[in-house]
Amino acid sequence: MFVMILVFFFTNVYLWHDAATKQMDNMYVQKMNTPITISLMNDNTQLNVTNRGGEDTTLTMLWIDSGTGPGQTHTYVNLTCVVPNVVPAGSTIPLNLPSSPPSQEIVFTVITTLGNSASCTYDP
Amino acid sequence: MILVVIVGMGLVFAFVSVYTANYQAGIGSSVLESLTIEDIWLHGSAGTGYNNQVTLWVYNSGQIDSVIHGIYINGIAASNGTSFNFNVPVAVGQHVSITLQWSSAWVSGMTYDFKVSTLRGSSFEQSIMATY
Repeated sequence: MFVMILVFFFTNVYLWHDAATKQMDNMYVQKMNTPITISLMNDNTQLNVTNRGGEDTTLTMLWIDSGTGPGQTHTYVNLTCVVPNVVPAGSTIPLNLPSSPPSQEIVFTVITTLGNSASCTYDP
Repeated sequence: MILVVIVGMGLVFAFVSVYTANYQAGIGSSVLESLTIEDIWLHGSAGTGYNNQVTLWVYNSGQIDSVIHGIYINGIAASNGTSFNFNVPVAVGQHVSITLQWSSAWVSGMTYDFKVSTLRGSSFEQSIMATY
């Protein structure tokens, strides 16, 4: 009886760990299957986000790093409430930039909910 | 004798039960953690150059809430001014920013390796070069 109780608990832990590992494996597969690329369009007033993978992906944040060196400034746009923020598999969606790029170098970085990211540089 | 055995089994049962629950809530759940270091801002000004401050933005892209315990830069622990252990909670899908101080000022052209470690023992890394 005692041994059965121990076996029950250790089996419980093993099965739980197995389920958790499978859950994360699925997430990593999704992440690998949703790479994105970004590019500047329309006189640098629009950012095109392309999903190169086979599954839909959701955008969560746009980072705008202005300038280079110690004087650099970092700002962000939360894309959670922006419509559309879901990029269907193999498709491209436009993101309107908050303002036209100034006369300095800017690095744009888009982050997805699965942790994928893509960057592009605006160099005036 | 039977009473002793029953009490002993009860104690072992309680221990295994608590151990299992703690394992699942603690280090066992570390496989469900996934943090993304989305932005690293090395502070400074155009006139005076870089200082030793940095702001990290971390996004929880995992399946479980995490707690950021410590951050290491090139293997050396960074502090938030008062402590090296931050215990900053990050819920699933949440973005958090942490401003830190390092042991020395950033140097243009140098690459810095940032490692974020969680309370459950997972770690997530990102490198950045201090631009000119």
